[in-house]
Amino acid sequence: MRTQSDKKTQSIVHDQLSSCLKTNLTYIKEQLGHSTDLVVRHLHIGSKKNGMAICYLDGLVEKETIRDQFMSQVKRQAFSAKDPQKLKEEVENLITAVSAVEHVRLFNDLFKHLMAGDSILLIDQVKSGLIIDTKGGNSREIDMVTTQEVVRGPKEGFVERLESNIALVRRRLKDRNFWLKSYSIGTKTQTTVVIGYLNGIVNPDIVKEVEERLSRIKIDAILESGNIEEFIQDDMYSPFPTVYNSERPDAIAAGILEGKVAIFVDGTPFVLLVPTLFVDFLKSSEDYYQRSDISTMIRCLRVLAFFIALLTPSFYIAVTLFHQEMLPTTLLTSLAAQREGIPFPAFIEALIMEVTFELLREAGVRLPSSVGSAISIVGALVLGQAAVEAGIVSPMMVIVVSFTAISSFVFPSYNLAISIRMLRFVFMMLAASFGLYGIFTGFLLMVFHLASLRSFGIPYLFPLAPFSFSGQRDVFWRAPLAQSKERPHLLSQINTTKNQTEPSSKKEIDL
Amino acid sequence: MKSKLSPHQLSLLVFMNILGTAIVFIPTIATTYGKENGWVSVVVAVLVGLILLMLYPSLIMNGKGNFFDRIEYQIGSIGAKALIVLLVLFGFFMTIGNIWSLSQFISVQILMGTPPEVIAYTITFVSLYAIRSGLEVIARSVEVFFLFTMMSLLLLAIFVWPETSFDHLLPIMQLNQTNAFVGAIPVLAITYVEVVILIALIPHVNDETKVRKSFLIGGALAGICMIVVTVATIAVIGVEATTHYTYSIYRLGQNIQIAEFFDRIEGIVAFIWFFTIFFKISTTFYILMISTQYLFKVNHQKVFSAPLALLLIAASKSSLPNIFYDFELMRSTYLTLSYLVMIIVVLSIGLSRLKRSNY
Amino acid sequence: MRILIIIAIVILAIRLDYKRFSGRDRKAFLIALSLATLYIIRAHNDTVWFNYVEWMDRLIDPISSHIDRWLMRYRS
Repeated sequence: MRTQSDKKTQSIVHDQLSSCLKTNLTYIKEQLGHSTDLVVRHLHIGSKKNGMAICYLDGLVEKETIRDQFMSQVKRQAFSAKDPQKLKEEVENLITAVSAVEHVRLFNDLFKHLMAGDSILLIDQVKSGLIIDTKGGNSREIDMVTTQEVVRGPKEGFVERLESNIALVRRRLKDRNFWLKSYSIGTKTQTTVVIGYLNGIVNPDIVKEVEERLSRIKIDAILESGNIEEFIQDDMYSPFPTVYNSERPDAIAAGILEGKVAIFVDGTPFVLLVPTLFVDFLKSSEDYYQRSDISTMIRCLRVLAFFIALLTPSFYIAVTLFHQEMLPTTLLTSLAAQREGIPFPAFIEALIMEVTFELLREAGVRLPSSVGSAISIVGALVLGQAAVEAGIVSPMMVIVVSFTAISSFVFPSYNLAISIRMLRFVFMMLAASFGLYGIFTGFLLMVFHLASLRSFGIPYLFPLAPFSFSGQRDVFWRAPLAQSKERPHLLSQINTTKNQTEPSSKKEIDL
Repeated sequence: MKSKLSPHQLSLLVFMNILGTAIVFIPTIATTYGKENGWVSVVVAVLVGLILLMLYPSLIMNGKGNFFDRIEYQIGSIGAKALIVLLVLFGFFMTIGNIWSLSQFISVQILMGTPPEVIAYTITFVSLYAIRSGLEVIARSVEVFFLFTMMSLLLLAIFVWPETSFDHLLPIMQLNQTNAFVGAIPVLAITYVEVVILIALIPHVNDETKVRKSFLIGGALAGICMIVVTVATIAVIGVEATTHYTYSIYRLGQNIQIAEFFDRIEGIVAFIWFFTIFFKISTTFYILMISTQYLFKVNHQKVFSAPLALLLIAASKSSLPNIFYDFELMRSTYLTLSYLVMIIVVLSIGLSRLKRSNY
Repeated sequence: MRILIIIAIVILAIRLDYKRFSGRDRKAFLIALSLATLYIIRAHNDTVWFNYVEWMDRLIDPISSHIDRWLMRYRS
C-alpha cells in the first residue's frame, strides 16, 4: 500500500489530479507547507473506509454549511454505487441540492478555489475533485459610512466583502443592463476586481479602456482600491485625483447611472468610479437629496471654500510682504501693530503655522479617538493662545490658518482636500517670492495643468472647459430634478434622456 | 489635425487677443487724439474692426488641410513661404512687445523693485508650458479665465460707477471731430488689425461654418468692453489725467471704494490685464511655433518651442529699453507694421481667391 | 547667477526634448537651442549683435515716419 502511494506521489504530472486520494491530499498539504488552517476531514462511504475527503481553509468557509447540510447528508446517505465515477455523480447530485458545485482537474484551479473559500471534495479512484461553494467566514457587517457622512440620505456604506458591496449597488439598480465583469489581479493576492456599468448608457469605448488598463496591471499584490487607482489613472504625477472613490453605495449607483464605470475591489470598502471630472469632487450625494436651492447654495460655498483653502495663506503673505497699499488703512495699522514683536517674516510665520496644523491633523487621524481629544486641546492651546502670547506668531496668522483649515474640511472628498493641502504650500512660496503676481501665475499654471488632464478620455474640467451649457445644470447650480433631463453628454452619448417627468402643475385646491 | 477648437473657444480666443494689451493702453491712446471724444474713436474703431473681422475668416475658410496647405494652395509655395516669414516676423514683434509691456507693467505697478526680466522669464515659461500642452489646453483655460476676466470687468464698471461725472465727456462731438476719427487708426492697429494673425487657427476649428460668427462675437464683446472702459476712464479721471497716465485704467482702478473700507483694489485691473495679455502671448507664441515648424520643415511640433522661448526673452530684454520707447513704437513702427501685414495678407490671399473663383 | 539660470534652463530643455526628437528634428532642435542660448547670453551682457526691434524700426522707417508725421497733426 505504502509503496504504491509513493509511486503515485511521483506520478503527479502536469498539475493533474491523480486518481489516488492519498496522493492528492499529500500533495495539497505539501504545497501549502502543512499550514495549520488547512482542514482535511475523511469520510467513509458505506463500508469503504476513507473513500472520500473534504478539505477547506479554516476561517474562509461557512462551517455551518459544511457541517449541517453537507456532512450530515453524506453520512446519512447509503451510497449504492460501487463504481467511483457513478459514486461521484451520486455525491454531486446530493450536494447540488444545497450548494453550487463545479469540477476541477488541475491543482492550479483547485488551489485557487481553496484560497477563495470553497471546499474541495476528493473521492478515491476519481481523477477529478468537486468544488463546493462554501464561501463565508467572518467579515464586517454592513455599517454606517465613516468618510462621507450626510444629514439626509442612506447611511449604509460598503464593507470589505466584494459580494456584499455588489449586492448593495444591485439593490439600487434593478436593471438587467447593470453588467458586471470580474478580473483577478495580483499574482500573489489574486484579488477579485469587478467592473460594473450600465450597458446601453455607458460609452463602450470607456469600458474598453478600463478593461485594457486593468489587464495591463502586472503586480504581485493588490490590497486596496488605491493600488488599482495608481495603475489606471491618467497622469501619474498630477496632484489632482483623476479617479473618484466612495464608500457610499448611492454615490456609486448615481455615478453608474451617469454612464460611469464602477470598479469594486475585494477587501476594501472604497469603490472606484471612472471617468472622473474635477467638479465631481465638489459634489456630495446629499446635494441630490436636498432641495435644489439649498444644494446650490452649499455648492457655491464649496467653491468658495476651495479658493479660501487654497489661497488664503498665500494672499496673507502677498499682502503683508508686497501689497500693503491694498489694505484699508485701519486694518493695515492694526496688522502692523500685531506683527510688531514677531521675529519672523510673514512667509516663515505662515509656514510654521501651516506645518504645525498639518502635523496636528495627521496626529489626530492616526490616534485612537480617546487620545484624539487630548491632541485637540494641545492644538487649540498651542496654536491659539500660547504661540500668540509667546510672540511667535501674530493673532492674524492664527485666524488665517484656522480659516484655511475649516475651509479645507468642507470638501466631501478627502482626495481633493489633500491636493489642496499640497498646492497651498506651492502658492505660499510663489506669494513669498512674487506677491500677487506669483499667485496669478501659479493659478494660471494650475488651470493649464487641470485643462491638460483627462480622465479616461474625458477632459477633466468638463463641463466648465470645454464649456457645455447643458452640463451647467449640475455644477454650481444643481437644477431641480424635473429640469435636468439629460445625462452629461460627454460621458454617455447613446441614451441621454434620464427624466421625462413634466414639472407638476400648480393645482389649486378648493377648500 | 490633432488639436480641435470649438467655435465657442475660438470666439473667446479672439476676445482675449483683441483685449490683451489694448485694454490698458486704449483710453490713453484714444484721448491723445480725440480728447473728450476719445470714446468716439473707440466706437469707430470697433465698427471698422467688425468689418475687418468679417473679412479675415473668408481668407482661409472652406479649404482643405491645415493653414499652411491652404495658403500654399492659394498663392503657391514660394508666396506662402514669404507670407509666413512675414507673419513670423510680425508675430515675433507682437509677442516680445506683449511680454515686455506686461513685465514692465508688473514691475512698475504691482511688484515694485522686481526687475522686469524676472517677470519676462516667468511669463514666457508659463506660456511655454501652455503651448507645449497644446492648443486645446490653451482654449480650455481661456474658457475658465474668460469668466474671471468678465467678472473683474463687471466689478470694475460697477465700482467706479459712483465716481463717474459725465461732465468730463462734454461737449460731445463739438471739438476735435477729425481728431476723434483719426484716433480710430492707432486704436485699430493694436486691436482688430493685429488679430489677422489668428487666421492661422481657423483650420483647427471643428465647425468651420461658424468661424465668421465666432470672430464677430468675440470682436463685438471685446469692443463693448473697450468702449465701456474708455468711457469710464474719461468720465472718472477726466481727459487730462487719462492722457497723462501711461496706465490710465490702472489709475481708474485706484478710484474704487467699496463701503469706505476697501479702497485701492486696482488689483482687479491687474487681473484683467494679466489674463488677457497672457492668452494673447500664448496664442501668438503657438502660431510662431507652428509657423517655424512649417518653415523649417521639421516633423515634431515642439522642436522650436524651447529655443523660441529663450529668443523671445532675449529679444524682449535687449530691444525694448523702457515704456516710453514702447509707446513711441506703438505709435509709429508697430502701427505701420500691423497695418502693412494685415493689408499684405488680406490682399495676397484675397485677390488670389477672387481670381480662382472667377475662373 | 543669470548664466546659471540659463544653463539650468538649457539642460532642462535638452532633457525634456532631446529624446523626443530624432534625425532632422533633433539636429534642428540642437542648432536652434544653441543659437538661442548664445543670443540670450549676449543679451544679458548687452552685447547683442542683432537688435530685432531696431532692425524692424529701420526697415519700415520710410513708411512709418510719414504716417507718424501725419498722425502727429491730429494729436493734441
